[in-house]
Amino acid sequence: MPMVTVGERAVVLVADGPSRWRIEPVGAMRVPGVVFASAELLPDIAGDASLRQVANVAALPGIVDASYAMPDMHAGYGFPIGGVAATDIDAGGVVSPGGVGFDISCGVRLLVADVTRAELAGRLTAVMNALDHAIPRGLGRGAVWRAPGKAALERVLAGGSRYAVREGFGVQRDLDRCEDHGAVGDADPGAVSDRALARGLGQVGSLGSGNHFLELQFVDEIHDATLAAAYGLAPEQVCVMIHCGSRGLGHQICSDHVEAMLAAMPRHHITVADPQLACAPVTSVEGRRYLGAMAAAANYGRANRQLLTHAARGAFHRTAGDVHLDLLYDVSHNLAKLEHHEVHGRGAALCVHRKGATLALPPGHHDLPADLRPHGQPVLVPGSMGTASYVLAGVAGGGAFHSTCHGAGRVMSRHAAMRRIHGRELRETLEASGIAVRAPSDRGLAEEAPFSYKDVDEVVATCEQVGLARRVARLRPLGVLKG
Amino acid sequence: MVAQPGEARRVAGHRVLPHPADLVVEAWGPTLADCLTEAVLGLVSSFADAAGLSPTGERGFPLAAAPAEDQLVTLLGEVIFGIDADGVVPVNARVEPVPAGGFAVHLGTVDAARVAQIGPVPKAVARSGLEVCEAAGCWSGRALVDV
Repeated sequence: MPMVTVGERAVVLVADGPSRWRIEPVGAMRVPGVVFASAELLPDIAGDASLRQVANVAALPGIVDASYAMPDMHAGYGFPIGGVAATDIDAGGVVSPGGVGFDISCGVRLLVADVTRAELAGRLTAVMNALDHAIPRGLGRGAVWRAPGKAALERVLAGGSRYAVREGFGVQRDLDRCEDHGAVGDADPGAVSDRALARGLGQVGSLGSGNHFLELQFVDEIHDATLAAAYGLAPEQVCVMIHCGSRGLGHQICSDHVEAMLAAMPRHHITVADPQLACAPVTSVEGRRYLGAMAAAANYGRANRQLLTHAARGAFHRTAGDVHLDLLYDVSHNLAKLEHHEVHGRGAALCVHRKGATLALPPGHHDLPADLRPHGQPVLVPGSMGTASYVLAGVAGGGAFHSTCHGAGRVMSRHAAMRRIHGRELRETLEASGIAVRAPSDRGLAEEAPFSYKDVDEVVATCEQVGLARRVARLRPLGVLKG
Repeated sequence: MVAQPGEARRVAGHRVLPHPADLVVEAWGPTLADCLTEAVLGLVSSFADAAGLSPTGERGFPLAAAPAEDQLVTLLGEVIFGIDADGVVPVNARVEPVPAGGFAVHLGTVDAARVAQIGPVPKAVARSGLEVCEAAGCWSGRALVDV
């Protein structure tokens, strides 16, 4: 049975239903840990530091219900990646920048094309070449748009995708189908440091590197025909998936506010097991400033994905003619949100941290656009390169404060992956299986090799089994752009 | 803990290690200044092949007297800032003690567009797992880097 060390004590992970495990509170833990993992996924989880991180998060001031871990969880810094934690704002609940992560509002959007794989086949290489040219990524490659100055950048921070669309980089549907309708309210550009602004000026509309990507995909399998139809997905339909975040600006904001909270914690009489769990009460000056800066970074992240959408549409227009790319949805998987939930039979205002976990609103939720409200929120789950990605749907009664997985989840480090396969070999393997690859670095490619990740099919099946989300469609790649 | 330095570590050096989330930079040297210098070179080696490139610019900045862990975070953060904000990558580094305490840092840089990218670009240094220590006449440091 997997064990987790909490302080000096070794604690057993107790089975708590199918694919659901529990870490009983010991030591400083205020709530239990709850881990969602099938028997196949459990050994990967037990093999790194992530269970200890689940227990450490369970000790945060004001945490309610449980410290949750999604089926794709793996070790992060402070929080596990795949972690969900909610704190009660009126009971001294804290906000922790580490609970959001460095890449604030890192997320995924899916654009659906009105063309099938067969219809695009003759133009696939031209489309990939055009995307290769149009999508800035990697080291020193610029961005779709360079903010002409601090004032323009602050308009991005306040307005997010709404600003980008207003400036002509999109259409109204792009806002209707974006989480928070394109922008988080209460953004406070004044809480963003000059260093963060300097890092953000030249990166609006760029993928970055690491595990971020743009993929040309097709609908490989429909799991729920009714929901797929409601989402506008049909077999063989071509899609574009974009995975990226708030770039250097978001990372700098996280770093800045971790330092501020480390300095403020003694004043708030808070101690944490790991400095990356640095936190402050939501209602404190430090908490409010972080939330304002985080919202600004989230808006930057959405504008970033909006500008990449604009560039992708241009590439299609130049090479594939009259093909339209309509946004299915855009959702973050690194964010803290102020939400109302029922806890122990009473309504509570919570700060819900999702670090490598995706919001999954159920059918009927008032935050969904009217045309999606009867069906639940589309949840976009990128898989490992060359395998599959998924569209899921939020479900009624979804646990963990309406959260689910955010990807396949790493099982080995990027460097260990490199030792098992050379990038050129991987490129050739992908190309041989019909997946076009555009990446500047074979080594960077190897670091994202599919065997570096868990089996995404197992991850999403586990999410469905434990009632976190429902599978709608499976997508497979036709082409991959990486930074 | 950073591995105890052996004889091989009495000279300065660095390496990049795996981490389930991102990567770890380890550096060591006879003095803290050497260790910090190697940390810069280690960070750059994780993503850039600058072999054969001579610096075309320089970034200089003070590293204030502070706990060594804070100095390591600040130093690597400056390198990361230079990549994003100024589009430059260090190809050499000099970290020199100053009489008033702390260090003066000089980075010889090249334009990022001239560098061959061989890995994901670093974006932040975590406070988790951060270590700098001195033992048996050798300084060693370790930092988790988000990419």
